[in-house]
Amino acid sequence: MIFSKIVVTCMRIGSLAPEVKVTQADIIYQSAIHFTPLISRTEIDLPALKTLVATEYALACFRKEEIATGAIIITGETARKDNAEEVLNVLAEFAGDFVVATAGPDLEGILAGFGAGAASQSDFCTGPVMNLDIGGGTTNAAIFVDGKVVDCFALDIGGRLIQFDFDSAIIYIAERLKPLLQALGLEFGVGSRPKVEELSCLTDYLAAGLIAVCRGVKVPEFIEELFIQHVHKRIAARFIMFSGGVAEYIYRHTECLTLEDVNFHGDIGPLLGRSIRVAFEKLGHQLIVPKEKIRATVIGTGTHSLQISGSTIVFDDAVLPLRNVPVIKINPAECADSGLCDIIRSKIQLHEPGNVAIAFAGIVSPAYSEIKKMAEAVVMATGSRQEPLVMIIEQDWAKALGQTIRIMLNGIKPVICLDRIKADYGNYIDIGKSIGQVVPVVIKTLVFKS
Amino acid sequence: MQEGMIRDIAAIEYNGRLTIDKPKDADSCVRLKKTTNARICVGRAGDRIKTETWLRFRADHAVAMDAVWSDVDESVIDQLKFYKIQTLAKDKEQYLTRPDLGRKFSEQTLGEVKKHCVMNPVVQILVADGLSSPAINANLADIYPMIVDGVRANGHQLGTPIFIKYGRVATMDQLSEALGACVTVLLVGERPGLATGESMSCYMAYESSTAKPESQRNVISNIHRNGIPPVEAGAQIVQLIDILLREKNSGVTLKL
Repeated sequence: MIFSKIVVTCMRIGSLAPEVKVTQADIIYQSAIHFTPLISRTEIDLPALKTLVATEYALACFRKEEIATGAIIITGETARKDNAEEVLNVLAEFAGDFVVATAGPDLEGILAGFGAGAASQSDFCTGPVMNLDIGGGTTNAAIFVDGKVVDCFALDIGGRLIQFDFDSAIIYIAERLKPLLQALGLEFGVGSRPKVEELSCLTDYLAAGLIAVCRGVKVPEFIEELFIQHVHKRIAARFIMFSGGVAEYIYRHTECLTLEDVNFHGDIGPLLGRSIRVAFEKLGHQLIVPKEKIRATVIGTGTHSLQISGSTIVFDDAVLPLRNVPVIKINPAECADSGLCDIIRSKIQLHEPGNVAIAFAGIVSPAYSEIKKMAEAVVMATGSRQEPLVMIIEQDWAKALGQTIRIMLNGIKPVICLDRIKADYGNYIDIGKSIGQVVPVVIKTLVFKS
Repeated sequence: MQEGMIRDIAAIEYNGRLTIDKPKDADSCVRLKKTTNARICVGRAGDRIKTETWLRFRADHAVAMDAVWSDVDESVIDQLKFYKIQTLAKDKEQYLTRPDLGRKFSEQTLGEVKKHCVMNPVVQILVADGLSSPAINANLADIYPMIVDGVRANGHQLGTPIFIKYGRVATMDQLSEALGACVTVLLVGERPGLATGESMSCYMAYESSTAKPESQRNVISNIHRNGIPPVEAGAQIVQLIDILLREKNSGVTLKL
C-alpha cells in the first residue's frame, strides 16, 4: 500500500483555455509487504484484509476522509479467487471513495512496467524496453517505446507454481503446468521431494521460453500454452528488465544446490530466478536493473493508474463516480457514415443494459456540421435509455460535443463528455468525481464477470 | 503532376520528415522532430543548410506574408449574415502602417451601426480580419455557430454579428460602447508565424470600454485545427460568457 501526494497544476495560467496536468507525484508512505490473507485456496479473508488496511492507514497517519482519490488493484492469482469482486467493492468503500477497483493481467503488466521504470527508460533510449514482472502465479510483461505501451501480455509463469512444505515436500502444483511437466518427463507430484536437477529442468525450460518471448521469436509449444487470454505481438526488446518477487533472485547471486536452498519461501521462485539469470548470462545479454522489483506493480499503480481528463469537458458530479462502464468505439469512417446512429445503436445493444461509454477517436478538429451530426446520432441512438450519456474523446473537443448534446437533451439526462482519454473497444472505464475542472479516469482491460 | 506546375513545398508534412543524409539514429531524430515545429534534424550541405530546408523556410514565410496581405472571403461572412463595416484604414497598406486607424471608426460608420444593429445586446459577437484573413476563412464557420447555439441555449440575447474589415482588437471597445453591450466577444486573425497562418484569437470583455485599460480583456489564443479546435474553443467561450455575465467583470481582476 502506498500513499502519494499528487500535484495537479493548471499549465496555461492567464489563458481562458486551461490545461490541467499532473506535474508531480511523490510517494509519501510505503507499507510493508504482506501476503494476501486467505481463508482457503479459493477465498480471501476479508476481515483480516480490512484490519491490515486499517493498520496501515494508522501507520501512515491518514484518515480516509483525507484521501482525494485512490486505486485498489487486485492482481495475479488473487484476482481469480471466488470472492475477489466482493472484497474489492467492500475495500473500495472502506478505504475511501475510491474510483478504481479491478485489473486484468495486461493492465498489471503495464503498471509494473511504469513502477519498474521501463516506461521512463524508453523515453531516454531508442528501441523497445520490456519489463517482465514475475510474481507468484503470473508473469506480466509490457513493452514500451517512447514512453508508450506497444504490447502487453501475461503468462502463467511464476514462483509459486510449485509449493513446498517445511520439509521441502511438494504440496501444490499448478494445473496449467502439468502438460509441460509430462512433456519434460518430470514425474514428481504432490508429496514427493524432487531433486534440484529435476526442478532446474523445469525452470530452465521456462527461462528459455521467456528469452524467446523477449527476442520476439517463436516460443516453444508448451510456453505458448501458458499465455493468458492472448499471445504477444512478437516485438523484439532491445532492453530488458525484470520486476516482481522473482526478480529479487534474478539480480542477486544465490546458491541453489540443495532443495533446502531452493525452498526459501516455500516455492520454486529462487530457482526460477537463478535459471533466468543464467540463461541471460549465457546469451551475453546485460539486463537493465529496474527501479523497483517486488513493489513495481504497487508503485506503478500508485503513480500511473489514474489519468486525468482534458480540462474543457462536460460532466455532472451528481452522477459520479461511475464504475466499470464498458466502452464501445466509433472510428472516423463510422463517424462519416450516414448510418452513424444505427452503428452506435447496434454497438450499444451488444452490451447488457446499463451504462455504456461511447468512445470517438481519430478526428483532430471536427467541423461544426460533424459535431451536430455526431450529437444527433448519439441522442437518437440512446433515446429510450435512462442512463447518463457518457462519451470519451481521444482528441480535444469534448466540450463542443457535450454542450451540443446537452442543448439537444434540454436536461432530460445527465451528460458526461470527456477528452484526452484513449479508450478501446473492450475496455472498461471508471470516472471519479471532479477535482477542479477535471475528472480522474481509470481505463481497465478487465472486470469481473457478474 | 500537371505540366508546367511546381510541387508546393509548403504542402509537405515536415513533422517527422528527416532530411539528414546518413542519420546515425534515425528513430531518435524523428522522435525529436515530433516534439517541436522547430527546423531541427534537417541535415546540411557543407556548412550551409540544404536547398530544400531553405526553400521550405521561404515558403512558410510566404504563407505568413500571404495571410497578412489577403482579404477575408466575403462569402463566409455573408453566409453567416454578418453586418459588414470598415475602420478608418482605407486599404491594407494603410492598415498595416497606421495601427491607430485600425482601431477607430468614423462617426458615420458608428451611426450606421446604431441604426442597423440590435441595441443593448447581452452578448455582442464581432469578427475582425486582424493580421490573418485565412484564420477567419478557416475557423469562423465552425466556431461561430457553436457560440450562437450555446448562448441561445443559456437564454442570453445576442446582438447583430458584425464583421470589421481592417480591424484590430481595440475596435471592440468603441463598438461595445456604441451598442451598449454587456459582454463583447471579438474573434480576430492572429499575427501569423512560421508554423501556421490560420490561428485565431478570441478576446472577451465585460462592458468593454475605451476608458478601460487593455487588462479588461480575457483571451483564448491558438484557435486552429492543430491548436484548440474551433468547435471546442466555441464551447469554452460559451461557458466564459456565462462567467463574465455572472461576475459582471473580466480581465485580470476576474478570478476564475
